[in-house]
Amino acid sequence: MSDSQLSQAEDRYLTVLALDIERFGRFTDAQSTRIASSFRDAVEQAFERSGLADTYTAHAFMQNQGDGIVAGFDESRLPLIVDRLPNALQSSLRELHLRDGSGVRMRMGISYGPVQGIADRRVDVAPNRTVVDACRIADAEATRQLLRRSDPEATFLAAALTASVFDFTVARNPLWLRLSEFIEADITIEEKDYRATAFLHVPSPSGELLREGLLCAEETEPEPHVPLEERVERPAGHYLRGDVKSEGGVANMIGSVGGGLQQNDIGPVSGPGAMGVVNAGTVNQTHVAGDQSTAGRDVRLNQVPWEQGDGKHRRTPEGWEHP
Amino acid sequence: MNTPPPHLPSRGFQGLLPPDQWDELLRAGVSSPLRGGNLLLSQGFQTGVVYALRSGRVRVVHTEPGGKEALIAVRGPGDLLGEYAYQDHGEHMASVWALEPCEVTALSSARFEDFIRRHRCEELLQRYILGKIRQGGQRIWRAANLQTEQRVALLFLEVIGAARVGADPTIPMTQGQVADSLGVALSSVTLVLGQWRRHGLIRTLPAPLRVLDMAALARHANPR
Repeated sequence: MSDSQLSQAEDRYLTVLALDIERFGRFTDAQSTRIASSFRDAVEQAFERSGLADTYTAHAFMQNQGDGIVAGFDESRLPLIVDRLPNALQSSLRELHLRDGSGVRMRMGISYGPVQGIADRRVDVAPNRTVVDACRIADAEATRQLLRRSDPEATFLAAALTASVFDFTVARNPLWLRLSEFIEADITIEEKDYRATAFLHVPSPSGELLREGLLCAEETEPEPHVPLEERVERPAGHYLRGDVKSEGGVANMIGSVGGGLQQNDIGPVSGPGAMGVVNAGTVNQTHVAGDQSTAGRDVRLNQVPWEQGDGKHRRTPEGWEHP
Repeated sequence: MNTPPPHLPSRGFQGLLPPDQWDELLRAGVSSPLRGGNLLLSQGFQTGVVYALRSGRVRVVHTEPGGKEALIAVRGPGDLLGEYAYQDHGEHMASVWALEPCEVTALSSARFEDFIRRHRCEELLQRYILGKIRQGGQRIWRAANLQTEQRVALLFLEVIGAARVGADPTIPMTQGQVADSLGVALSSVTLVLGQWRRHGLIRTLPAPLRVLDMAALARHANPR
């Protein structure tokens, strides 16, 4: 494959899922080895228990860090993943704990957007903005507190959605989950100059979460940890499973940075924190501050013929037909 | 630029291999159809054959001395069958019955071993087998701890998940087979399925049983 082929980036919109095991360092080596397998099984099982086994099988990419997973799935599955997966994973993890006392608890972040990839299948996907968003909201102090403030024998999962994911699923097109089952939280990572809005959800709240609510008024010192985004591998190139479509022959300009991702370093688009999505030769620039969606992304989301689940709970977008 | 071939989603042992290696494995054996309801492997026999399931779903059952069957697993496209006996040079520990029309490829132990060694897949094979063993432990736990409705829902999701990607959500099992698989009374299964049918979750006629509301099935499978 030529260098030009290796360097050509393909843009694909994906649902990105970031999963991190809470306080993995507390486990012994023997426990860690066992848990590294069993938590993967629990995640795969959760997809199966959501009726999404085929979605899991057809993942676009999946990076397994041993104590976490970052994976990309078909964009059309976003509503079903949001609606069903948290509950199923809570159930799977609870069952795992009851079976072997493992005490595995997880934080989940769900984002949606363009993910960069090229035709070279030998290399894994790089952590661009969409992937970073999913990792950061899963890693955020507000999300961590949900597990710290709940019963480790009852609450096994805390989930966070980016604002755009929440808006396009629960807020505008609810299936089973409702607005009132989420709470809005500001996510701030000072050292990375990152601000975002996330929507938090706990399938099975317990302990202080029930007594005092999901958001803690007191500020607590964050516990030291290696951010999930920094544990995502950053090799020389990128690949996506599945069909790689060319968007008018123009390369995607997002991502492909080394070290910790800095907003100023995203792509060759000018201006601090600017991000461009190239589509058929047109660059749609927009200012990125926190979790604002790009105009290009919003247009793309509105065009997506998302699977509507059983079709019983939401209106049908114009022009979309039930299968 | 050459367009890379589309990646076909795959599961089971196939999902652990690069696409070209799975194809090579299939070419090393002899393929044949298997009719729904037919027996592929017989518990207690030593055949020296490993099967690669190309299409269709099968149920793997352990038959107790009294004739009672216990479901061990449901397998689908991309799975291996008989590889336990290959590993320990022993007898097949369970019987395998086709749930629906299948295509299987039979490989002699020698050819399977040659493939594994040439491609250094020993660790992948071990991982695959360990994954199956863990499923067995989960099934035993569920039989002891979960209620019938949840177990039926989980079984249905397992059967649907074993099908090829994009297949219709059908359960090619009789109600009696469902009851035997879970080790519960037929009346318990009939009661659950009757409720589900009234609520529009499933359709039982015409056969095979079809799930109409996957979201509802998932909710029944996952109490918090």
